Amino acid sequence: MEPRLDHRRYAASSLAVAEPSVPRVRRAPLPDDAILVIRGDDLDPATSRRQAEAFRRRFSDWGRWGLSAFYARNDAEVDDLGSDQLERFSLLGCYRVVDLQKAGFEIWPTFRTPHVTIAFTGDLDDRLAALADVAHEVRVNPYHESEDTPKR
Amino acid sequence: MNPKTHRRGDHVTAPQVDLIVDLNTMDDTGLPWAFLDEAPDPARIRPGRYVLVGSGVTRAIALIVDITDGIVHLRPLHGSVRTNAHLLDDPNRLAC
Repeated sequence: MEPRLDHRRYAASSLAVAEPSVPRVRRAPLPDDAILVIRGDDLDPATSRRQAEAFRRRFSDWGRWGLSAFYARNDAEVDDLGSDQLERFSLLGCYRVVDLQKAGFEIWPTFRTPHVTIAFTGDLDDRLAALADVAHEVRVNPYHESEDTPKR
Repeated sequence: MNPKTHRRGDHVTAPQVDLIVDLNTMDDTGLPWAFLDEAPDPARIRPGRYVLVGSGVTRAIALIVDITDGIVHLRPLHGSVRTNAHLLDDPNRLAC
């Protein structure tokens, strides 16, 4: 008897199915005590626009604009970020999670801890203006080596 | 939180970058990323090469780690551009 071809199995094994272009969301939600979202501030509003557009271009199936940032639970973790991932920034923008959420922004735990994506929908310019209006603190990053610092 | 004062808009002149990258970004590699086709001169962007990257007034020297499907991954170096400028092919272009 001629073996029957399992078409579903054949299709699953032989066809390359394109992965949806979405960011990887970590299984673990943000810790309850992750109260701060930190983003290096380069003093150029165009950067946020450019990044939100690049994010949407790359993760087009997710249907959201996105901005990269990092969560922190306390000042010591902000300090750690300033000395490591965000060392190249002279200024750090510090937002409270609750303030971002109140303004309609989603905070997704994406890629590697403690990275997060500030995600939003709607008109990009309007939403970036709304983000700029969210209460936040800008801290000088004491770990940033400015171009004026004497060479070590 | 202890607010520190700053004045947004106190822009300083920053050298032209080889690749505009928001250094906050990350993807599955854990590294910042950018689209190759958004580089002013994509031919300069090659794995193993040190280039000047950044956005706004933020600048860093970064090692190009790989380019996959038009996505450039890079590893920014700690320290100022001046500290790491010797790694560039042409460090003199940063001289003012």
